[in-house]
Amino acid sequence: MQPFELLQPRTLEDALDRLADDEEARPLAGGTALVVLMKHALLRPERLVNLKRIPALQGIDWSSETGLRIGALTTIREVEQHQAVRTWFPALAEACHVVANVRIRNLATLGGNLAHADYQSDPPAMLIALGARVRIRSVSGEREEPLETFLVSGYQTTLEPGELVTDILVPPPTAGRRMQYLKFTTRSAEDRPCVGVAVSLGLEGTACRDLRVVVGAVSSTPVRVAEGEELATGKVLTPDLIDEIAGRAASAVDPIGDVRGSPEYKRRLVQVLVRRSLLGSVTEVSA
Amino acid sequence: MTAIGTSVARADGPLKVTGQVQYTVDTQLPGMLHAKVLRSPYPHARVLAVDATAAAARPGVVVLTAADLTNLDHAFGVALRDQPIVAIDRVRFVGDPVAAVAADTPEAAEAALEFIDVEYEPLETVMDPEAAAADDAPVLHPVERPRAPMFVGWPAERFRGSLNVCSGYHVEQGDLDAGFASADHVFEDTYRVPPIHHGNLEPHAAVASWDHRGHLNVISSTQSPSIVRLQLAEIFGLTENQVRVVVPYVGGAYGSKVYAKIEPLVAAIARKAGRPVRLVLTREEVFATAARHACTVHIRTGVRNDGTIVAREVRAFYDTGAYADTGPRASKKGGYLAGGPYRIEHQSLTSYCVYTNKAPAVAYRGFGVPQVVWAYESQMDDIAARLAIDPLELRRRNLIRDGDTFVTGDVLRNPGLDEALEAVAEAGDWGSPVPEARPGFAIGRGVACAIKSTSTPSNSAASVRLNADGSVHLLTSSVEIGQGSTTALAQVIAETLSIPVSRVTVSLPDTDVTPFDQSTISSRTTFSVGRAATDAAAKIRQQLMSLAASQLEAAVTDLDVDEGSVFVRGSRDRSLTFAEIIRRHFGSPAGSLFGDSVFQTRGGLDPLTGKGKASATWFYSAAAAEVEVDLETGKARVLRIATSADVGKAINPAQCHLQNEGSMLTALGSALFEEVVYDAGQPTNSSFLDYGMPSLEDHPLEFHSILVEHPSEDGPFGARGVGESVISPVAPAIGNAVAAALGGARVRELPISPERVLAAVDQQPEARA
Repeated sequence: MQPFELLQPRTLEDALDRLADDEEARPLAGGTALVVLMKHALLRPERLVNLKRIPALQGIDWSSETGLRIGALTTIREVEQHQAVRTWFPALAEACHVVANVRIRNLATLGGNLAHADYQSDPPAMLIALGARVRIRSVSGEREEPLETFLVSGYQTTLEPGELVTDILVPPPTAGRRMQYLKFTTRSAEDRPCVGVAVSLGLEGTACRDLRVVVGAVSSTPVRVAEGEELATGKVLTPDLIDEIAGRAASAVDPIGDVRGSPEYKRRLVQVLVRRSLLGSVTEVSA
Repeated sequence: MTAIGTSVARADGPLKVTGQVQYTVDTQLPGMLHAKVLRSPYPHARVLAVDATAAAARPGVVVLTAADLTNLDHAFGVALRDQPIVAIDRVRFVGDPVAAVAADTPEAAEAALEFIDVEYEPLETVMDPEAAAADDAPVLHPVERPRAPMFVGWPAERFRGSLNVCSGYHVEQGDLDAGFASADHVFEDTYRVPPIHHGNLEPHAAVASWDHRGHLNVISSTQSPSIVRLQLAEIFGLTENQVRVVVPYVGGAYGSKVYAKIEPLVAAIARKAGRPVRLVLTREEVFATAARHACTVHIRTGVRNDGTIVAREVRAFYDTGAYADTGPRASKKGGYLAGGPYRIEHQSLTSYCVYTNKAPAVAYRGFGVPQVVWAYESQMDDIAARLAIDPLELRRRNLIRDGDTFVTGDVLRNPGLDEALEAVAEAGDWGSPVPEARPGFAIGRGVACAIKSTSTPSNSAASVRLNADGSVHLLTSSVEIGQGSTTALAQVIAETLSIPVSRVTVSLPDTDVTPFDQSTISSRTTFSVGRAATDAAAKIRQQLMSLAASQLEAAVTDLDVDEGSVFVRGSRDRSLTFAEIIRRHFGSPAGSLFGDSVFQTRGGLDPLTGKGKASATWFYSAAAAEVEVDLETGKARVLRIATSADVGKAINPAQCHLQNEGSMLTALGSALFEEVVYDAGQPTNSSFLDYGMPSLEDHPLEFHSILVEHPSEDGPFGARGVGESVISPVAPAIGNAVAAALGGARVRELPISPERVLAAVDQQPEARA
């Protein structure tokens, strides 16, 4: 790996200044992705700005009015174990729990995960299903954006040079909301997902009030199954309807073939896993 | 004493888990430089020019190119000397070394690599071993390479095809045509195994320096200090006593570090630099240095209605990658073992060792055998299904038995195979109903068994020292690669001398001091080094007895040894401790007794007939698996596995069980998901981000390890060896369980990926029921 200078700011403002000063400087969060890219010489920054010593980027807050705020430097492991996350967003805890292995989860951060925008990842699909937004700061100000539009393509986001993700915001769930995250690996249990399916289901009586189905790890960004979501609105999720939504999901994705599966296989899996997720969510309701 | 058969805790365990052990990668020498290697981006290309002027002009940088190899015998290889230290005129795989740089830091060395200009002319590539063997294939080595002196040559000409066939093996018995004519059923299938990665935690590492006498000193993570010394002496024109190879603890090897790998390159650049040089490979470079042989196995078997196998023909194409390395030997072993542990009257077994434009395939736990076991044990269950014979029963009817003559001509003595097979069947509840599967899933069971041989002829020397205080030292060039050899070797010495195990220390290799050992390979350490150590210790025991006889004024025949003392049988009060015997002998509590011994196995196979004595001892093993298959996704999950191995005698039962468990998990990865993937000659998953290996979470919920003890004739206390036994039967046991779950739909190419399982289900829709 090429030598680099490591800057260690203690405040967010200082970090933003450093990044504004040098467009080539890269922010360093958990390092689980960046360091690998540097080792492979895919990135060769001469300067890293370490964000781990900035208190403002840490921590998880929960309120029933505003929902969840997760500081960008919160580790995946902290999210997975946080009591409010487990209580109000059990599927988010699950989507974090299934990331790699505990050693990685103790280092990797949620903000880093989203900013890196690797398509073979678990948390983004679940966060999109939950309607999460990201808060972004730079020396010139602050903005907020839905995660869904923040992720542009594989390894591409709307982040401009000098901008940092500071917080991940998840709105409070509606009463009785059902959610699921289903990770499928084709190889080792610790492998990255071949397919991940995130479901968030709001109910009115037994009928669906609103549904979000997001397929992760298959295309360059998580794919919302909008057609399937619309089909469900106002209806009872019968097995037939679920099959139809699962079919729409399979048509909605444009799978990337890789060592974890061919495009054809992934498309077939999407159908199976979306159906299973929805059946699981519905079964959970009636139970 | 009860040192044998006791699960003595390993002496190096606490040191390793607390991080106190120094490995080769930790080595620092004064003035040491760090090396980096420039590697080919092409799978096959002519090297037209290498211009290192700009790199060499950088301060503190030393560059090694082909131009520096003119005054040495630069090509190495333990079978064929076909591998240049750096590319001479051609590169043959992505990752082939083209040049190397040494500098004060690894970063400076890496930076300097970018200042080397190489001009390539890409050549046509060939990636499939069977295609590469054909006479119209692009040829990797247009000039045939000389055989290494150690390798008993196999006349490759008989097996060509193209010059890419660098070795071949053939053996036969009976009359194949008559055998097939007498069969009621004939099964003909092709099985495939991809290249896989060893996953040794410590990458290949070596430090080389040249002293004022012109002697070469190498510290390396090798499994073969004695042979690496020999290979370096050949390359640099030195005598063996001018090369010193030191091996610290090794952080895992599994075959990837057998014989010279990076040592010649490090020694060459250290010679040019005139300073010590260290090279530690990155993970990606480890992928480019070693793999298990991919293999295509064509297997045709004739069977009678009663299940008797009457004829078998196997043709196995071993993909040895760009250089032969151990390929000629691994393919020979796989060749003569391709018929399996069965009595088959008519056999014709042929293996081909073929160059392709992949990274070199080298020794890997199992050494060419798992590839053919995957084929013959999978086909065995197809035979059972067609004949409606229980798969366990079919094996029983055909198993080799005590006193049988193997296809090579070896007579098999006291094989524990039937016992191993019955043991896993019982542990796996064979014959009882399979548990009911969840909706959308299916559960099946499978068994498999295997036979493996050990490298023969070979030899190991051991030198045992008894110090004046009664402590004992074993000097050996055997390598502690994590398998626990230093503990097991201490146990056989402790037993022989009737002293506590804690009083014995076992050296790490230093070829200036420790005697020759063939290599830490082929499950041979306990068997061969253990036997040499036992014999050496027995010589000390004899010396103690005869010294004590005069000191106690008793006849040697009246003496016995126990608890570190020699005593007169029947009167325990007339006894002398070892320390006292030495003190009386030397007239002072200072001095030592020593015992040296060489254990040599004899044999070998005739290059023309393929017959002779293949192995000094044999390893028998079996596995039974229960697997749940998700019928919609194709994913197979191993619920339970039972494994068994005939270890002859378990010197340290806990270590034997751990060998079995490690073999099982390694084999599970190869069965279900491991594969080094190439796309148009480029490796696409040469990192742990993209190459999946089993984690503890992939471990079956239930695992049994059963040790069968049918003593061998020559091993210490009857021990055979255990390191590779269980690796072979696990993948076919899992494959057979998957096929059983799917009503016979079978995946014949490893890994048994979910996608392949689903394709098998699709092709056989009745299996879905």
